[in-house]
Amino acid sequence: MNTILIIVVIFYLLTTALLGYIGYRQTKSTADYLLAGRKVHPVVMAISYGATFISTSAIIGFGGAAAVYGMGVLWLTVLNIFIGIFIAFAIFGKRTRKMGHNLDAHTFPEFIGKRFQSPFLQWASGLLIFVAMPLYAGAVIIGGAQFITETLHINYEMALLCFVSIVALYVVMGGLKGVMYTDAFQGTIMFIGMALLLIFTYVKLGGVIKAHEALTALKPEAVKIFGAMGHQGWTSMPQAGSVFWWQLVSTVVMGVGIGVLAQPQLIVRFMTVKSNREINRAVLIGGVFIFMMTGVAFIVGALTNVYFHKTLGKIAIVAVSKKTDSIIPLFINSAMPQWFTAVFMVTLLAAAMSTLSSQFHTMGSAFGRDFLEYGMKIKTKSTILTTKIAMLFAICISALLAYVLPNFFEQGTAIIAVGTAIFFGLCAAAFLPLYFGALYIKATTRQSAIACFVSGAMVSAFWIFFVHIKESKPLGICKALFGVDSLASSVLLQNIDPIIVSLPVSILVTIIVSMMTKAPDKDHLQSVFSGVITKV
Amino acid sequence: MILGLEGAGVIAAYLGAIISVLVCIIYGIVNWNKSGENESKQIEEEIQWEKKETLQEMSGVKK
Repeated sequence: MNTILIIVVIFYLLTTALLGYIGYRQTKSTADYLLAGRKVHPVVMAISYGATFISTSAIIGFGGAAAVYGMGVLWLTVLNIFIGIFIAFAIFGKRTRKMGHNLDAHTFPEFIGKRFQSPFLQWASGLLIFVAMPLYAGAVIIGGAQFITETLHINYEMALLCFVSIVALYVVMGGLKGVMYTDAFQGTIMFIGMALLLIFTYVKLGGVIKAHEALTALKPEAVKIFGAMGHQGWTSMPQAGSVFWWQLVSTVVMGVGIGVLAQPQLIVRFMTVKSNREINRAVLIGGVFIFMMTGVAFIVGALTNVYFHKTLGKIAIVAVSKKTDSIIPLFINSAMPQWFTAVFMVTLLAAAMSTLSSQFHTMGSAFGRDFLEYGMKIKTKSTILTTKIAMLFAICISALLAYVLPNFFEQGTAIIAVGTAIFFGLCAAAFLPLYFGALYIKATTRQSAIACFVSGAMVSAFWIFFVHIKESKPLGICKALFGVDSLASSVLLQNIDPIIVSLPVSILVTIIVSMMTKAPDKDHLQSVFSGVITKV
Repeated sequence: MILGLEGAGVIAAYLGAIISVLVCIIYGIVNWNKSGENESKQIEEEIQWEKKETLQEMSGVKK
């Protein structure tokens, strides 16, 4: 097994290095470095988008969550595909591409800054990304490094150093071309790995319907353990209004499902293709890709209960002593052929690297181009050099967080979910209303966009630090200041995701301020919307 | 019980995920060659843009 694993890993790393090198050789201008030359093939764009979107925690963490909540988590897949791909590409993507073109924008902060003629919006959103993203990137690094530690039996520090250095090298040198080429390769591995996992699981459990029926038959086990929290079996939704229902609906489904629309590292992908035809084609590939990622992880995650009950007489969460992140790895190790363990290990490595590479790139461009160059007017020989320096700085902070944080959190896994949720929640509330307004509502004013950004970021931060117990408790700031884990006394309120509160607030603020302030300049709007309102 | 799944919410989620994929596939196929009609104009725009960018980079001027 070890020999197979070593061969597969070496092949994987060499191919990644080669693609990173090709990206480096083909990078000549700022547009190459920040937007991959704007002529990316739709297949590469779609897979790169999907591979960035899906990290190891989406497979391991949410797969483990499906083993607890059941197949109701598949609503997240529906949202991932329908909102994260279809709406994102067809509704947001096409306009973003054309408008980005009209505005000569190279990054998401630059896009909104120029659209609303607000340098503040550009540098402030660059700064927000730079402040909030290292924790998210740190979370991905922790997930990846812990996984390497367990699989290759090396120490955590060594795993972290190797993992970060390899990704940093091809991102800093190859820019977005390096990122997208390697993403496409890594995404292909992820696709094959997850397709095999789905087939093997269903075959192992006697076919699709038989496997589902066996899971349905385990209902008494679920009710026995989680019944008080509202669980009604793994093939039914939790009882409406129960704690499990709120956790499932608000955090899992709404929190991540809608949050994806406002992710700067994903939005920039739309500006990398040359026409809307490429985006049409990318919808097909992206939809299938995401289904094979989250859909498979959730179906397999829930079905692990059948396997563990058959073989160990226990349900999944009991089999792993409550460590949900261990459910999928334990299932792979015990139920799958040995050679597949090696393939799956590389699948997870690819998932972590593809997400991390885009995070590094986005942090570097946000801090370098948007904050330092446009905001602070600090310039070097070229935008590429400024971005590279900023990127290295952001990489060091992320790596440092990944090194330090596991010491403060139990098993280090809590912080993975926290880092991801904070970034998704912040981006959704701070950016989504103004991004939609930028694309579709000409009456959205500069002041309303700024108000949206400030109110969304502040309400999100307040809810994250002081109310939503999943974040406020591990972060500990609420406890330090007020002596309690959450300012909310009701258990239900403590479990409501920040996005449920902050997004309506920022939407409302955007609308009200737009109505109260002077309409934007007509000539500017004309140049921004030039060629945008065409048939799709 | 459909497909061996019990609750209506989960059946809808399972089928909803498959239907969402099918919508993406059909959309992609139907629009495979659409919106590429202005390609010559877009290429022209790109060339102009690249020229502008190269000039900016050569002269070290940033906007």
